[in-house]
Amino acid sequence: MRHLAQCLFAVWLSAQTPPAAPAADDFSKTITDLASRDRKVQEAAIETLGRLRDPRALIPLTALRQGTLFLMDGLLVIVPTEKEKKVFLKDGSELTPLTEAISGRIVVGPDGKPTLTDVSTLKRVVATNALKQKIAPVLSSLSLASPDPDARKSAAGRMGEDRAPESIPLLEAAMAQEKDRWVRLAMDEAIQMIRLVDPDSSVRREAAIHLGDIKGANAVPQLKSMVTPGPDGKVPESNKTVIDAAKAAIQNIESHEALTQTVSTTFEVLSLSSVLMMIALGLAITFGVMGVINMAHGEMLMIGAYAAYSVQNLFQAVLPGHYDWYFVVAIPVSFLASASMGMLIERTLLQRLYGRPLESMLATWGISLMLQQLVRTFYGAANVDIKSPSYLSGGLQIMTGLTLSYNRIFIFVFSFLCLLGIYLLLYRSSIGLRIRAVVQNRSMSACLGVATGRVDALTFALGAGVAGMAGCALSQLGTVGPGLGQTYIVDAFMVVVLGGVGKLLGTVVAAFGIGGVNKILESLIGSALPKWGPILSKVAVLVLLILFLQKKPSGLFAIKGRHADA
Amino acid sequence: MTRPVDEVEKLTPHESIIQLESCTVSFDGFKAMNNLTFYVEVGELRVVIGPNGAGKTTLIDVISGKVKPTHGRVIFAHDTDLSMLRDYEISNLGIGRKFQTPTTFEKHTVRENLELSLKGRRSVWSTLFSKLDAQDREKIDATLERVGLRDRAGWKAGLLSHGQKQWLEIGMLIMQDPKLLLLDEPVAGMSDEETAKTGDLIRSIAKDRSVMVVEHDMEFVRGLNSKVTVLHEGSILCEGSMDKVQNDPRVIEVYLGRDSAKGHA
Amino acid sequence: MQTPDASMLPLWRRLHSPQQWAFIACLSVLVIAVVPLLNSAVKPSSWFYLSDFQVTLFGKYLTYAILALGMDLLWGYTGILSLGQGVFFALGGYCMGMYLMLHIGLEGQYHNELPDFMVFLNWPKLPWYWPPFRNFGFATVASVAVPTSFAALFGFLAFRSRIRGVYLSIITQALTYALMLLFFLNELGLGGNNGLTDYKTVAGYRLKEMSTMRGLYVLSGIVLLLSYVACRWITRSKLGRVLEAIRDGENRVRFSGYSPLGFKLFVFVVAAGIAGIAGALYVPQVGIINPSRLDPAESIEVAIWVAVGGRGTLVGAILGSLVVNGLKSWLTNKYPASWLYVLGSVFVGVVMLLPDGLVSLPRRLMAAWVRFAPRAPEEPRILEPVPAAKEKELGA
Repeated sequence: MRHLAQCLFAVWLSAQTPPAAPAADDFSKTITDLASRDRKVQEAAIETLGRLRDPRALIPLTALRQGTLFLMDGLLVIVPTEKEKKVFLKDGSELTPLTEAISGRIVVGPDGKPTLTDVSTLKRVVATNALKQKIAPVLSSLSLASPDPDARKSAAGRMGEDRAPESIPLLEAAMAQEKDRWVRLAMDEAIQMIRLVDPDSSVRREAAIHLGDIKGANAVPQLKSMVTPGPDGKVPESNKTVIDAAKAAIQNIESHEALTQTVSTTFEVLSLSSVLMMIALGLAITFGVMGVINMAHGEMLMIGAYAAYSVQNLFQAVLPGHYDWYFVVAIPVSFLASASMGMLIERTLLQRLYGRPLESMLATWGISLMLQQLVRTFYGAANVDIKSPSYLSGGLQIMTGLTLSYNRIFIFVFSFLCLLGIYLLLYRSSIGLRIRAVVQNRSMSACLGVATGRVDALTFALGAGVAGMAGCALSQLGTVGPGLGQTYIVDAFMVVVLGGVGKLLGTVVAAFGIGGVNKILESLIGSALPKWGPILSKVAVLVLLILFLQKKPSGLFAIKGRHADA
Repeated sequence: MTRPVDEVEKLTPHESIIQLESCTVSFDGFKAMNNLTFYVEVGELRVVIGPNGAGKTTLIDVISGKVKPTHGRVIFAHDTDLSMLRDYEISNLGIGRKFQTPTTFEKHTVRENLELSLKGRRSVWSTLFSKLDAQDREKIDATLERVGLRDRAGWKAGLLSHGQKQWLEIGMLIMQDPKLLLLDEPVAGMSDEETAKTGDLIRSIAKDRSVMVVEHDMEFVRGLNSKVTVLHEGSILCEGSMDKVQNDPRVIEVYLGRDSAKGHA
Repeated sequence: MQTPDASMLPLWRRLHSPQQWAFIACLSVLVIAVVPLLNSAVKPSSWFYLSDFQVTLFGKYLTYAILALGMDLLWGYTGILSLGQGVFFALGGYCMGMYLMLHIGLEGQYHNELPDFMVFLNWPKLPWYWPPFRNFGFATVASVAVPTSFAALFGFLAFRSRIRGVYLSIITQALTYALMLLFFLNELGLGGNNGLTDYKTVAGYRLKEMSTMRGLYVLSGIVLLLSYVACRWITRSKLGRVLEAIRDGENRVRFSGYSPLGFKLFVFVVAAGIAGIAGALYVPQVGIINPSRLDPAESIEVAIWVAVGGRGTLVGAILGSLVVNGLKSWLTNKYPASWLYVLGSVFVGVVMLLPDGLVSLPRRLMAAWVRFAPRAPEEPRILEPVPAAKEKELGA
């Protein structure tokens, strides 16, 4: 125990000095030392790694501790634990790909493909239990120094859960150097959680108060267990001041949680509504101009999403180094893919069905069936995976316990940019003028020389293209499959019916109205009848819509005045 | 009951079949009808003219219930306020309306069109069990004769010529036996011969009911020899016989422009 | 087209000419009587034999045809494209399904009085809305009453607000979608996404027996015939004229003094009732009812059956439903991956190329023949002076 404390003290001391940039040689050599047969050399290597504070040591040290560190012809390699990566042969042996311990790269053969090796030919690097115990704190402090803030946060959280008093100096040291406010908070929380089990009651009290101040939600279970009577009827915590402090802290934290919950739900509603708005915009445009509800609109969405998927695959195959840029390319590609499909549908099909809206619905439904099947044939019926680029992964933390994901923020902003673009196009360009003219009075526009056929084609393509971009955005949010369109299309129809035809504002208000009401009803119903929430809210929205249409059958913002009779 | 047509008089209310009091209809700020006060006598044949956008069709829309006035009242036969009623209710009260473009039932035959318009019970059950009796068939035949479509009785309405469709629509209105007939441009798109026939038809109809005609064709209007109301920008500009109205400088100005007005006076 | 003194004729004569009635009679005998005989009285080895599976399949087709009749009344005659007929079909089906479930009795998987899925979910007893369905009469009446009441309510709200055209279609689609989601919930007590199935008996007859299935088939055929006659009566009456008038020019209908609300509501409710009966007949023959029946795609398909056959003809609806479903059975069997392509092209093709459906084919072919058929070159005509009397007649 003393020996351990001394080791740790040494580590702590050395952590006070800013780490010198480790020479590559030093680091590699130290890692290689981990495989030494001499236990003392191994120990020294571990200490050095702790001192160097180089996060690259995390992987080999974890592997050593887990027993997945091996030697292959002098090269330190790690064997993955996941079964999927292994290949099992008929004779019962298993082949597995390997990663280099130092660089983390997959070991590849001369053909560039990962080499599969039989594990039994490798030599495992052994760590005794004593050694493993030495590794643990080093790992923790290294995690605390990881370049990824989320990894640092979870390392701190783990330490808080473990409640080892030895962790406190490590955490304090890390805190002093920590620049990220939220990681500092996590570390602070961890320290307080450890202090909650301190034998000194004043320390415990201070810890409870402090936790209340910093709204440490992770500590709530612990705080609650301190003040809740056990099966014997006695409360674990004996000191009354501590009990009071703990209760106050719990209240403090929980009211904060209610706040964050509200904000989080609001954000979710805004994000979903903005998606719905983007989808509905394209539909509203085509419906306004041509009086046609495009039942294949959902498939325009799906095409956009699959276009993004294809671009992602292309980048992975051809330009893996610039993977992050795939998304920037995907947006215009999805627009073009869906727009061309829309133009094709309009030219071949819809223009011959002018004036027959019900039949156009049926025809576009047929197209939708075929498009879904087409995608199933070429991409498979299963959902496909799309990885977000790095700048869209993760989130922005704005409060304790509240992180707003970047991709949702992006979608929200993007949808309004689309709206702005469409507004400018419709109200500030000459083609927009023509479009609006055709919406209000087709025959008159034709008399005035507007090429209504071309306007139709362009508008339809525009509507489809916007849906395509919405699909590209959606691909970042969830899974993409051939049925993607069907999931959103009914809601989009509701938005168009509610919003009315002729003004963009109608679509915007309707999208946020339906999104908001849906969520509110979901929470209301969900609190009384948990499972029924989402479904009944959808039914309720439909009922409310029908009732609303009693008063205003043309929707919220329909154009009034002299119309050809519908 | 006729009055000399070259007298402009305000009618006493109980003699009017339809009466608008200070009616205004505004669409998003644009006033299609502007504080209009308007009467048609019982049994009168009245023609309403005016340049485009004067509010003629809006006038018909308001009376027939297609549009509700934003302000003002519409009284039918001195005792019924029409602003509370729906369009089909107004129709059943005895106001028949012909649209600018013929709206007959294209896929039904001429005879079926008339049968549908037969005055009588209009409920779901009565139509399910209704049968045509001899009296009804006589009425239909009489109307067919009257509008000159006897030999087209079995034709689908969609196959009729434009003029014939207009007659059919008038025939459908006659079948409803209305007290007031509103005809919106009955001779639009007709040949001279058809126009003359229509004029005769309208005069004969006007013998036993009130008729209000909206028209553009001045020759036709003159031929009807009745009182004329000129509408402009949603209000009455002038009323009187065709001669009086045609020579009124305000009317000339509105139709032809200021210079012509100066030239005429 | 009605002849001038049509209403002088007796009712049956008004619906069809004697020749047409004869044709209907022959067809009915063939379908209702002969088909089951080809299963029961003919040896399996014979070419004429119809297998058990085929008889049940045809029975299913007959129920689809009934459903299509209602749709034709709604869409073909009144111009209301309801994309939610599946709702009423399913409601009727579930009513019958509940009856059938309760009569499984102890023969279910868990040998419990309660339906299997309730046992699986650990429910202590039947929810309050189940017990009445033990009675066959109640279930039968309910399978019409439930859909029609629902249709009356929904239709009243929808038509009163003058929602029309595409807006109405979308609302009906949303309705069936919402109900589908609702019926997927286990908590509703209707079997969740597995639905109600594994039936044993209906009205005392065992469902495994072929004689029961044949009986159901015959019943479906009879109901189809009766529904057809009822629909024919409606469409040939003045009410039918008004419905078509509403389809062709609702404004003129209003200004002729009719309130379209009542008429639309009437036809909507009738179509719902027909769909409910169809659903009730469907369930014992197919053996299962689950929420996928409420999928919007299913309801939209009904529209295409009617379109393929020919809207506004009633026979077209029956024909179209048989053709499309026959095609579907065949293709999903032989070339499963192609079915959706074919169905999609049918949607597009019918709308673009054959808007009046298959029933219009003879007429169209005739017209094409007249136009394009080769003719003998015309004999030159010798002009003769026209007699005076004839001239007068021509000139008048």
